[in-house]
This record gives sequence, structure tokens and C-alpha cells, in this order.
Amino acid sequence: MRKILAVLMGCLSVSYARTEGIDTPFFKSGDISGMTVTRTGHFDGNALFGYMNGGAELYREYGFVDLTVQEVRFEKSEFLVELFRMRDMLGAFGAFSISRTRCSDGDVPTPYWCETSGQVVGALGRYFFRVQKLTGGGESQSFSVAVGRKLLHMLPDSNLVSLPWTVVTPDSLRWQRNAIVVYGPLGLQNGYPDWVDPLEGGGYHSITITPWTIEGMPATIGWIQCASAEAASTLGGQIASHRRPGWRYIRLCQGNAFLVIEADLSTELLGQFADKLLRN
Amino acid sequence: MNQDFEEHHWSRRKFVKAAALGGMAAALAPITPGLAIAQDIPAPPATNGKDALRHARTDRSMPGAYPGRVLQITNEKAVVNDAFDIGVLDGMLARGMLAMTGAPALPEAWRTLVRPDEIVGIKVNPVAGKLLSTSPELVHVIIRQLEASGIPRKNIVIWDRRAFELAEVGFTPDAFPGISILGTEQKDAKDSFYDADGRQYGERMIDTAWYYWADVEEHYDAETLPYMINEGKSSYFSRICTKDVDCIINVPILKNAGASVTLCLKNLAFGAITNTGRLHKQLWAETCAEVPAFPPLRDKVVLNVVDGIRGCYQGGPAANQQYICNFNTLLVGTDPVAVDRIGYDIILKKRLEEKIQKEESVKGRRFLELAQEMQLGVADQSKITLERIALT
Repeated sequence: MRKILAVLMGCLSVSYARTEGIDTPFFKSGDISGMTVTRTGHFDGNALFGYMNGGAELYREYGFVDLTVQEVRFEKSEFLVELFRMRDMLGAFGAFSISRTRCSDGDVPTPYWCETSGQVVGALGRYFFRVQKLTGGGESQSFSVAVGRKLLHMLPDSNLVSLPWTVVTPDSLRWQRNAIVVYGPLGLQNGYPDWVDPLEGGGYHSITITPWTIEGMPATIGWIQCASAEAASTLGGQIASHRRPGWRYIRLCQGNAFLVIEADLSTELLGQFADKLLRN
Repeated sequence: MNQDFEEHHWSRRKFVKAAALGGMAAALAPITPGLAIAQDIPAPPATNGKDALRHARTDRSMPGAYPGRVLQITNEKAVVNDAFDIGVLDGMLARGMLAMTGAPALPEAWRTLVRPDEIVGIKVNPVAGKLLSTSPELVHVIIRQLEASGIPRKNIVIWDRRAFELAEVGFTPDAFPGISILGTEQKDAKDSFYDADGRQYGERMIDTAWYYWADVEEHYDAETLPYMINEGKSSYFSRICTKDVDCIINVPILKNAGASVTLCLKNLAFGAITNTGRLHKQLWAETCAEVPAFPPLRDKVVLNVVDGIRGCYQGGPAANQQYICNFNTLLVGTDPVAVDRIGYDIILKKRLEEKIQKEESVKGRRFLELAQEMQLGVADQSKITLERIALT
């Protein structure tokens, strides 16, 4: 029988990276009545690999700076609280935008807030946060919401990033809540997978994608920004060669950005919509 | 020429004109409606993957005893009140093993794949934490069935990259008495990755005789390096799979990875080697297909059991609660490519239903196609024999 290197180096307890010197907000037991903090950790730079392995690449695309993660206990349930600090507000919004889906209706404490069963995600300033229930039965949504709301109050930055054209439509809140911002292929895979293949070659700096309606018909509006006019010219050639069949309208704007509209509508109508959009 | 596209503001001719005005001479081919012209996407970095094919195959080499054959076992009662029912899981796996092998009894079914004198390594996936990792309940079931087939507990190893991640999700000596639990990357009781001589404990766990070379590298900072063990252009195999175990039962969890999936091949490839941070961006598909083709994995993986009781269809491989659901499914097979193809179809179907995607991405199955080229199994859906067993 072969010998096994049967030495477990005594590490049966879980540990996070260093916690000293954290300069982002984090919870202490009792900050919310009944809550006990069981673990706190902090990861910055490439150390994020140690926390989430290959998943780290996604947040690096959004300009990841650091993460404070805590496990907290409330009644008989355990929750995970993650507070990401990103390079800028748009990066924080981008990470938020690809993390939300089917958000509950109702009042929200901030436009960039999404509640789903067992989870709350939000973004404010340079921060993106997520509260998830890990284990335990029973009701958890109200606690997740309480944690999220408390975090909003604790964050040092209360600015909201301004997205393109939020003033265009009367329903700007809906526009903000639908928009998805991506900086690269991983963001695109997670945020809007249908556009991964035509944009496989990259060449863009950022894309803002907004599922919308035009004349009552479903549409997707994309604002593809390139780093330069030269990059836009190269990307434009690729788009012209390999556009999605549903991309009915493509316009080069400002020399370095493309407006793309995917909709089953006439180009005339889409052109009118684009004119209105771009006038603002 | 697509009339709509011509009418509105951007046509190929205008791209050329704009490029010329901008000082660039872009030679562009004419557009043909519906024809996707290949984009100028750079080739992936070179690797030594083809070297794997030079090693002679054995009678255990992938795709194993049942190429192209997958058992999909479902039971809606697998999860009750958020808890996994071990009895139900036991029944599901038993039915799958009996159906796959045709053996008259369960111990005999297992003995067609493993021998009592062998060290059996159960390769789990704990990386997404408590929310979304290989369930300890399923591993208990596998161990129970192995023991019943004559494999003593002391011959069973649960393993993955990181010992501490295993502990975090419940793979502990207390929960699994008498079972060895091993990670390539390790810490000591003082939470240090380094011994008194300043050497990583993980360095003792690698076998430099086996490596995956790729022409891409990344510098890791001091905090990240212990999770990678080494930098450079080589990723070394863990000695857990090269020396410590005789055969491997691969137990990934049903998860998406973008528009693709992280299942049998990914669990093996990225779980058995060091220095993986550099491989994700440019060589994800190639790594998944080529690393398992090397003998330490190719000739030792005897069975794949995908833990699809709970999985995720978006947000993977990390755990994103809102996309986690109970699939109440186990996928069983010796052919990791075929099993991954079926898992991919399950996830894709769910993503389309949930409108995460409107259509399949051509890139999603690339790793399967490459793995088939590496002779690891069957990726072509039309050539896979899928047997569905619905239990109640």
C-alpha cells in the first residue's frame, strides 16, 4: 500500500487574509441588533485570487482595489457580507450591474440597489456590496436588507455615478436600473452574454448596454466606447464584418464611440430614436 | 448586401473612408449578407499540450470503460427544507452505477472501476464556499458505497488545491473520520504558508516531473504566490495525483462559467496544477482540454460524478445566490467530455429559459471540442448515449 503524505498542516480553521489596517467600513458585532460577526477578512490587489480563484479576474476588469468580507450570524442563519472598493464609481456600478437580476419592486434606498431572494446588492460611490445568506432556514430577506441599508450609511462616499443619457427619458430611474456596464469579456459574459461573440476581438474601452423598449418593442441599446478614434476605426471594421443579425442600427459618434441598437424595428424609426438620444 | 444596413449610417465603405481620413489604410473585404468573416483574433499562446499524446495509453485511460455514455439521475426529493437527503442521494448514485456498469449488485459495480488495494482520491470542488461547493453529503455517499465494495476508509483521500478551502466547506477530519484530506496548498497551525526555512509547504506537494508549459506568465505578489506556489511558464502537477493516489473519482459541481461550464474537465485541470492564475484569460479552454490529457489525470480518473443537486446557471464559478438553484441531478460517467457536454446542455437550457442568453455562444463548447481532439472523450451530442433515470 502506498504511503500517503497524510499530514494536514493543522489548518482546520478557516482564515482570511490580514485584517489590520482596513480603511473601509466593516461591521462589529451588535452594529445590528442580534448580529454577531464571526469572521472578517481583507483582500487587495492580486490577493483576491486567494479568496475567489479565477473569479478574481472579473473584478479586476472593473478596477478592483480591495475587498472586505465578513461572515455574520443572525438568529440561526449565516450571511456573507462583501464590500468591494473599485477604482472609480463607474467600475463599482459596473460590478453591481452584472450582479443583479429580477430585482424586487418597491422602494429602494438608492437607485443602484437590488433585492432578490436571499441577496441584496448595491453600489454607492466607488463601492459595490453584496449580502448573501449562506446557511440556515427561516426568513432572511429583512436582515439582508437591514445590512445593506446600514452599509449605505457607513460608506464614506455617497455619490451616484451618472450614466450616459439618463436624462433622455422621463423614466431615468428605470434607465439606470437596466443599464449594464462592461469593460471586458468577463463582464460581457456575465452581464450580456449574447454580445460576447461579435465583440470577441475586444478593442473597446467600455460598453454600456441597456435593455429598453422603443415604440413598445423590446430593444437593446449599446454605447461602445473606444480609447481612441483609431481604435474605433479598427473596431468598426470588425463590427461591420461580424455584426449580430439583430443589430439593425450602428452609428459612429464623436469619432471614438458607437451607438448600436438591436431591435426588430425599421431603421427609420431607430434613426429617429438615435437622433433624440444623441441630441442630449 | 443587407438593405437596412446600407440605408442607415454606417457602411463598410464609410469605415474605409474614415480609416483613410484618419491616416489608416484598412483593406476591408466586401460584406456578404449573413457571412461572418473571421475577426483578427490573436492565436492563443503555445503550450506543451500535445506532449501529453506521446504517452502510451492504458486500459484505464480516458474516456474510460464507458466512452460516450452518461447517466442523468434526477429525484425531486433530493433536497428537503434546504437540506440534502443522504438516503435519496445514495439511491440516486446507486441507480446510476448499476445502470452504467450492468453489474448485478452495487459493490460489484464499484469494483469494475476500483480495486480494494488502491488509494482512491475523491477530487472535490470547494472554491465557491459553503453556498456552492461539492456537497459533503454526496461525498459521504460515495465513501459509503466504496467501503461496501471493499475499499477501506484508510485508502480514501479527499483532495483539492487548498486544504483550508476543503475545511471551510465541511471536509474536515471530524466530519470524515479515518479519511485523509489533502490540499496541494497548505498552511500550518499558525496560519503560515511557509515553514521555518521559509519554504512553502505547498512546494513539498508538487511533482516537478510532470508539468503543463504555456508561453504565458504572470507575476504574483507576496500574498498571492502561496496560492499559486510558483510563477513562470510551468504549472506543476500536484503529487496528490501523480504519486499519492492510484485512481481518482472526480466530483465537480454543476456550475456555469460565463457562457460555458466548469465541470469535470475544469475541476481536474485547474485543480491538479499550480500557477493557474496566468492561464484563465488566454488559455481557459486549452487548459481544460490539455491538462487532463497528461497521464497523472488521464490514466487515473475512473469515474465522474457531477454534483448537480444544487448548482448555478449564471455568476459562476463564484457563488451568486440569485442564480443558484436545485437541479436535483447527478451526472455519472467515465467519459468526462461526454459528461461535461450533458452538463453544458443542462446549464444552457436553463440560461435560455431564464433569458440570460438568447442563443448559444459558439465559444461555450470550445473546450469540449479541444478535449475530444485530445482523445479524452466524446463531445458530439449526437454520439453520446444519455440515459435518464427519474426517481421519485
